[in-house]
Amino acid sequence: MKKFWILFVALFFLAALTAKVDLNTASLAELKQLPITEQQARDIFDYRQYVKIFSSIFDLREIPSIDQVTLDKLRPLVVVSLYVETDEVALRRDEIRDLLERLDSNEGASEGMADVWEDYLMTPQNVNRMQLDDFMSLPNVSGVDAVAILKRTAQGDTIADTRDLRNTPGLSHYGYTNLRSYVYYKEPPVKNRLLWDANLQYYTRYFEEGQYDMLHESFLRNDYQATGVVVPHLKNLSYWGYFGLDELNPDVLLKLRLRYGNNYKLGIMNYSGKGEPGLLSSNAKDLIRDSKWYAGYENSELPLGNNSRLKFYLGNYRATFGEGLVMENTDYYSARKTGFGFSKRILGITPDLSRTQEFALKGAAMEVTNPYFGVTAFVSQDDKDAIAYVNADGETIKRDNFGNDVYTDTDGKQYYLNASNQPVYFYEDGSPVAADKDKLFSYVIPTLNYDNDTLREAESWFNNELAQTTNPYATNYINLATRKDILREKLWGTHLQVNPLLGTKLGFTTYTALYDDAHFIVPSYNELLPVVLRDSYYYTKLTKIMNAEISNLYSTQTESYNRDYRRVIGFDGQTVIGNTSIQGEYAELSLDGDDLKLGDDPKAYLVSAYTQFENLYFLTLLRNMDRNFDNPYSNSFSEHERLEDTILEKNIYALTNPTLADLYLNSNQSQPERGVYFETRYKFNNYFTVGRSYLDLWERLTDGRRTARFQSELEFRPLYQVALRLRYKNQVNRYDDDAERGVSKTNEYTMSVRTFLSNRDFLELEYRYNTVWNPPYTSLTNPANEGENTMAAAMTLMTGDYIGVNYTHNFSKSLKVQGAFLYWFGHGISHWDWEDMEIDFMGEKGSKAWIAVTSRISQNLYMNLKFRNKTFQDKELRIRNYNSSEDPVLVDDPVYFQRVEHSENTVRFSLDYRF
Amino acid sequence: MLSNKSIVLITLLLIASALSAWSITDSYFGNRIGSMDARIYGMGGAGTYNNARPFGIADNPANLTLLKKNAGFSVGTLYNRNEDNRAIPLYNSFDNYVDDAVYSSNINFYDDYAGAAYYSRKLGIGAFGIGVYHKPRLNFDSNYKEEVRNNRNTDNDGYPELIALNTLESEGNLYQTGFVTSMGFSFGDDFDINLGFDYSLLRGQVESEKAIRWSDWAIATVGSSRNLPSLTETINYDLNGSQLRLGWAALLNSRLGAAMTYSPKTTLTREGDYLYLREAYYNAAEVRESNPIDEDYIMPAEIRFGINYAPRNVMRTVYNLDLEYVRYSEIHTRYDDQLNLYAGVEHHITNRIPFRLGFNAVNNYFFTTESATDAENNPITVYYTKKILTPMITAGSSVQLMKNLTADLGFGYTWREYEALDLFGDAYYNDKTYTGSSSYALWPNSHIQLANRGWENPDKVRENNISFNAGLSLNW
Repeated sequence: MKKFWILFVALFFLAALTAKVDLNTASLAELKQLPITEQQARDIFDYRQYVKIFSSIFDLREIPSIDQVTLDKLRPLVVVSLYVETDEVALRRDEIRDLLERLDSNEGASEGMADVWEDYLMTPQNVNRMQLDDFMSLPNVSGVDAVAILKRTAQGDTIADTRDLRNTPGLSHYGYTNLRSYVYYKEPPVKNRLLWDANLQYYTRYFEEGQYDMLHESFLRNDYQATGVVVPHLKNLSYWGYFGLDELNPDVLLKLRLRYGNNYKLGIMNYSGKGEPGLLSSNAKDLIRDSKWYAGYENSELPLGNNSRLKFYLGNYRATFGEGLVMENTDYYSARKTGFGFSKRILGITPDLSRTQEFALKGAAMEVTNPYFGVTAFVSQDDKDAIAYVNADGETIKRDNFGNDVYTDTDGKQYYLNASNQPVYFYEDGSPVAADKDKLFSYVIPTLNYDNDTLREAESWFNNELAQTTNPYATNYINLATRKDILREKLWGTHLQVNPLLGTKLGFTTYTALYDDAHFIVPSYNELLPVVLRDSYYYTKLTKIMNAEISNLYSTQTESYNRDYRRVIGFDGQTVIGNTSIQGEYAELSLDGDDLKLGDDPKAYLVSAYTQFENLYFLTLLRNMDRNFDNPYSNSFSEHERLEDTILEKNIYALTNPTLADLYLNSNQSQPERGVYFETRYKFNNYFTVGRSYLDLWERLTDGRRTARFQSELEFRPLYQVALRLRYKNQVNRYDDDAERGVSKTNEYTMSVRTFLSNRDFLELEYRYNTVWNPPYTSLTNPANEGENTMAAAMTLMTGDYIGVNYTHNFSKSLKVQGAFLYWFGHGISHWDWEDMEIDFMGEKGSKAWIAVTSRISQNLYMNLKFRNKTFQDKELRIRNYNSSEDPVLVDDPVYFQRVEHSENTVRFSLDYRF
Repeated sequence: MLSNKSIVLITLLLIASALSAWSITDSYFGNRIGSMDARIYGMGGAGTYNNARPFGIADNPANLTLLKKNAGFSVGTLYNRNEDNRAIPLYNSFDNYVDDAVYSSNINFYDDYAGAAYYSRKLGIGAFGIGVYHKPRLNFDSNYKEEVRNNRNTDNDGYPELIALNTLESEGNLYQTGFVTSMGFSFGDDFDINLGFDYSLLRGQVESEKAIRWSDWAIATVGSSRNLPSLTETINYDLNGSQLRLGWAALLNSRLGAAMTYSPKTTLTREGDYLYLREAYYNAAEVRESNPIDEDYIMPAEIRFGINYAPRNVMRTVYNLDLEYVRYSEIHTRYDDQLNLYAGVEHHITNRIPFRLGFNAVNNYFFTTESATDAENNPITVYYTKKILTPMITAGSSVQLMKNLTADLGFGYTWREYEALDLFGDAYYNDKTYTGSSSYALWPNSHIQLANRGWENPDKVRENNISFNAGLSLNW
């Protein structure tokens, strides 16, 4: 009987309980049955629907219309059931939110790699099946860490969880913390399912300083110095004025990626930059042609033996091997790319939806690997932009197979000019002169993306002005000009790899780019100046500048060979000994020598050793790239990009076509250098850390300039929330000759205070002070006699400084506001600043402020809006000669407009839907 | 001048700007005012789907029954500060174009007012509503002043003498009075469809004047024997017509809504007078040209699609995104159709205080004409059409004053940069023309070349607008 009563009471309470309204499941109608107003019921319903699921009854108090009295009244009538959202993708995304944000903020630098890493964060790889290159491709994971794990898995051990991973002998704490989010152990956090990512970005950016200067250069008559010649002041004699580049013109990026787990992948991206037609003004055919896409299949469990895997891609893909000497295709140069830390290479074949256009590979690629060997083969066919030799009418000059420039007369017959400038219509064997290959100077990544007809119209207008001369200067028309898609490049390549020992690999890489419709012709050093410079007046002055780098660009026709391809062959290797990982690559560009013989062709090599301790690492890197190693698909370690300091950078005003400067401004290759680089980081304890510090000693091989660059950073963290940082950078450039070139020294001192506030808010104050000691540009100045130094000489000592504040405020998980204000005084020194997702360079004097709001609208939808105002003053300009001064000291001197102020408003709007 | 153009030209004179700005560039074509709903204003103007404020009926008639209220009333004001900086190309000592330097800067304030009211009634699963709104559709207000000075005394911290004052003044609005009706069908708590119809009367009056007035110093320097001719050009006209608009708005589920509007190409009449008056000078008689204006004024068809998304978010969130397709090609083949983007988000931070943020990017055209000669040396008119992009960032918030009464605030910042022809050609200030002398009287620097600048050396215009939109809304 007693039991019966207990049961009865239990049932009674159960019944009472079930009669209660469950706030997390009740319909609106059920909520309206409660003793509250209809509006209050609606508010409760809306809170659950649009704010969050109730975790306790007291959440009701967060609803403005529910007061304590109402809550007390409701309390006996309602329950809150346990209700958890189980969307594994959303959970996973929350888990790795910090890392995703960090990758996004690095997107500008890594260009497309963030996509690959994001995929691995969302759908990690099984750590027990990963191979050496898989580890090496992840950010902040070293070869030593990789081998520590591989040793375990090779012995048949299975890593069961993060804790188990952490206990791996030899795996550093740093390696472990960076690796753990990219791998899984038994069950993946997200099971195979369809994932997609749609991205829209709208960006009204301005031209960078170098591009701005290049596009402002006027095409002037050569005889402007002659007396009695009136030179018209016409804005539209520059590309800037002609194309009306003062107008805002946004870059629009649309990207869609789909994948099913890590197996099936599909993506398409359209990017319209400056000068390119937008989506509405493109026809469908052009739109498809200009878009990048890929379709791929990956299988990491091939039935070909132990742990074999396959990747197969159609469309756009990236290929990266070794140290990037033979093949790492990208349009974007990054300095000091060591292959360690965040400065990584993702080895092998990866899908490519980056903004890289010129050195994009489009075709098919296949990669089969297992723990002992790997085979990769790839083919590509794509139309490339190039600088072409053109006639006065804008037609490209043709080149025959015997090294003659071939012209076409009015009858359509082709001829070349012999040594005495007479037309020759037949070769010695009696056959008519024939040439259908374009004569090209080099690949180029153009700043302006107008089509060829539009470019030719512009050139015709400029030529019209250049031709208004009677003086016999070298060039009175544009002889070199960018032509879009002029070169049909067919490329094939392969990479073979053997891994004889754990953590040891040997690789062989080669590619050949076939040029069926073009010859690359670059004149030798002495013949170069008349081709590139507009006016013989400059020849002698500019021979002092290191132009051998231009004359060493690759030619397909020289006195010693005649071919229609470019071939690069290389070897790479890696091994781990104890806590040191040694890796390197050797590459040769086939020129005069035998393809298979080493040492007889322009070469490049790079060897590095990375030694890792728990709180310390050393990286030593040795590199050497010959002057004539012109491989546009390389992207290895260097301090500077190719063609820096040549006439393409320094003397844009003297070029036959200012847009030749694109060869330098948008260069993706390393400058020929030889040097040794040393990097370290040491964490003494929780208070003191020597941050990434390096010393680089190198020689620029084109002109023998030697440089030492040192940077070190000390962080003092007296409290967890406060960090003080000191950074010092010193660079000395010098020549070992007795010409007027001299030493330049740069010092940069930075101090910053960072506070890490609650809720991940962040405040930073930074001050930077620089000095640059420069020799005067004596080659450009007149003799230093009294009254004769009328042209500005460079300052011998320049000082600049910079002060800035950064702040991040998280209103909640859904809304983050970042902003910064900074002021700088450059005095000719260029400052740089890392913004939320991109780096910005600032010259002269000015201030800027930016604010970026990241709104997580829903679990899957993100909106980012960034606005920046940058107000700065430009260089001093002499504007008007006729504004004579009446000042008794400056009598009759020209009056200068002191500086011209610029104000730039930049907005970037992006929408991301990740599902 | 403008009144003498052919019908082709008249057709080109369109209302093209979709900018809530009071720009001198658009003083003839008018500045289109977007949403007058301050809440939507703070959300980037993305208000095709608007189920919160009565002003929604002016953006999409179907919003009337989407509101699911019995009646409502809204008033709104829009204040705008327009800054217009005009720059001239500069050349260095190598005769190289190097940059542009601002020669004229104008800042003006303008305001506009609007109101909307509606009543709706539920009938079973259906609902029916009527509404009315009155708002400025186009604003023609503009002010521009430019001083013409010589360069004497500039090296000694003195002011150079003022030669003439150039002004452009325009005033007027095209008001839109809309009569809205809408029907809604509810198929459940979270699914309803609304169809709306808007018939609007468009009425406007515009008065504008362009003038060149010589300074006392200039008149005195030239002397009483010679007249410096002042110039006056006035255009006064009325705009009349009506416009139809169809709207659709649907709540598709508890989170997602979608809406669409379509307004066909609309032709207004433009009637008034044009006067050009230039005074006589020593060897030229007065020029007085007066013409009636009787033209068509075309507003292109617009299709606009918007979504509204209300996800679950710890800060209650509403997201609006609109895409607008404007068929500029209906006006002339020189124009390409354009796509405009509007997006905005509303987060309730704490205690229902919302924080709104938005962005829009609107393309509009303006055109100018220039006299030129063809290959046979016959005079022709060259038409320049220019597309101008105007991005805008917005922010806003609101305060609930009473249960049904809300005050909304919206802020906007827009900017644009483009090239335009010089508004007042330099050749007019060549006093040698008016005195017959071989040397300048007003220009101490004899090197100066007073020639009109054409498109080879255009002005660079940088404009920005800071706008503030405040509204009161009452819903029952």
